[in-house]
Amino acid sequence: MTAGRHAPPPGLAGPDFRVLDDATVIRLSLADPERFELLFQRHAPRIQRYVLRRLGADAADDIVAETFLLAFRQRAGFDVARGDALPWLYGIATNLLGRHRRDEIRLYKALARTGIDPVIAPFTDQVDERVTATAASRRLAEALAGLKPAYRDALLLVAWGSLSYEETSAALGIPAGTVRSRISRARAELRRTLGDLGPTSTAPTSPEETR
Amino acid sequence: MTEMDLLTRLRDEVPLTDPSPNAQRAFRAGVADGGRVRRPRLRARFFHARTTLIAGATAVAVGVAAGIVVLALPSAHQSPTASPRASTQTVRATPTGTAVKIAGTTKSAQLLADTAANVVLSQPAVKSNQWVYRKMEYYFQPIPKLRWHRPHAYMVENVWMMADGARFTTTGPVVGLMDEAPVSYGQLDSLPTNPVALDAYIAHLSYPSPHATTQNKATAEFSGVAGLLTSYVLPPKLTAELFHALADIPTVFAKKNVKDIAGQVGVAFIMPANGQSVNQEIVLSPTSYRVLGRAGWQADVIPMHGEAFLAQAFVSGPGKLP
Repeated sequence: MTAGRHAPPPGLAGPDFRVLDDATVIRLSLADPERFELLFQRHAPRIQRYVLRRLGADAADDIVAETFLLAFRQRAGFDVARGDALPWLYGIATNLLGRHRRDEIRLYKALARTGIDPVIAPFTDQVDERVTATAASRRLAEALAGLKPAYRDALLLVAWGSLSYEETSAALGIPAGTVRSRISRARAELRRTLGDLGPTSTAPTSPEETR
Repeated sequence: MTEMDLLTRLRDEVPLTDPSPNAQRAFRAGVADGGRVRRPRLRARFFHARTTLIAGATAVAVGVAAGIVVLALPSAHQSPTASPRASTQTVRATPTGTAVKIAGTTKSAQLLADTAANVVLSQPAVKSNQWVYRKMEYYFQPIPKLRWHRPHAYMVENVWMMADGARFTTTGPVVGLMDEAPVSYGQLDSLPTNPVALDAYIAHLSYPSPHATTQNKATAEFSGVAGLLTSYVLPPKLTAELFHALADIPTVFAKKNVKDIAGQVGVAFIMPANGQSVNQEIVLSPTSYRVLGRAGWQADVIPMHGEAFLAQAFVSGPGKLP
């Protein structure tokens, strides 16, 4: 579990954030639905970054909102013994991402082919946009595109969601041993694709140079 | 630097920011709409995946099962369970504990579904604009250490709504139902009629990924069906189909002499805790098979939350009592 991931976003440090754990917020929201907003404020930034990284900005808003609405609708069934809702939310988001596999793979392939990361382009200016990924990142994207979806889900929940294996197991509803096995195989595949490339290797600086 | 470090670096290129205004707006609008997710409909061929063979077999089974269900349903091995009204820590006969001892639990759910379907199919349909009065009771597990917000363990409210769930007015704390209907009333006609397809469709609404687990699906199916049964006054045919859909969910079993959170005794569909959800139950009247109550139980014995339909009647308008 990532330390401090329950820290409130700036400006939202009220008593709710200090006192209430996720399970309590969910329980209170059964009587007072507005309280679920607290969970949104608390976890949406991380879910948003995870979805953005995997799918880009176009569909991220919809998936983030839908993740929390599905969670809201199913909150009566949340097992409060879990305490932390973040793995649960990551699990819902990952399921929703399943509808966009082709878009996700297209993004990885674009990064692998051109060296320009379409996901971070909106966050950079026109000059920075042409700053290329390292060759290792491009190989990484190529490897991600080629992974089995189930392996990719497990790997990225750990790498990009910062979940532990146990939390990933809860998020995906599969045994922890299966998570370990999938991640192990996914990492082996990444290493094989990366080959001798170090992360400092640089790629050509423009799409044209890749042709 | 390992491949995991590379992945983390790739992730960190995306800034961690507040949720976008669009996502916030969509979320808040959805919450105001009861958490309903607007989603494109599935393709028509999915809706028309009707299995007439199963429907025919079900009809025959209804007749056969109607006479034997009362004998066949498993009994609670203990005296009727105490309502949590007496104590918030009341120990209750555990649904899962009982389930383990019952042979053919799936059969018990099918028998209950057949019997309940047979009864509701004999009832008249209700117009969508028919006013309905409901007296509801809600239960929440108190939170002892939370001094600044201590909801009452029990709350009662009067509710007036139309059969289609619209024009909801209430006198009371405006608690709301445990489960939201996964589709609007206007979309009910497009639901699959085959119980298996119906379960699959409801699960798909929550978990569109082909990698959703059995537990993911079962939880979504149970909550989705409960939401439909409690949010609207449904046409008898659909109610019957939903009972069969409940019975078709893996691990769901039936049990008689179950008390809801208000102490009303009925027969129940019960889904044991499965890692994705706490124990859940839907209690039906043993005579009319209308929903009496709905509850979730933590660790088998501690009631977390629940709702009971203390009364339901058709009335001429909002504020009118039967």
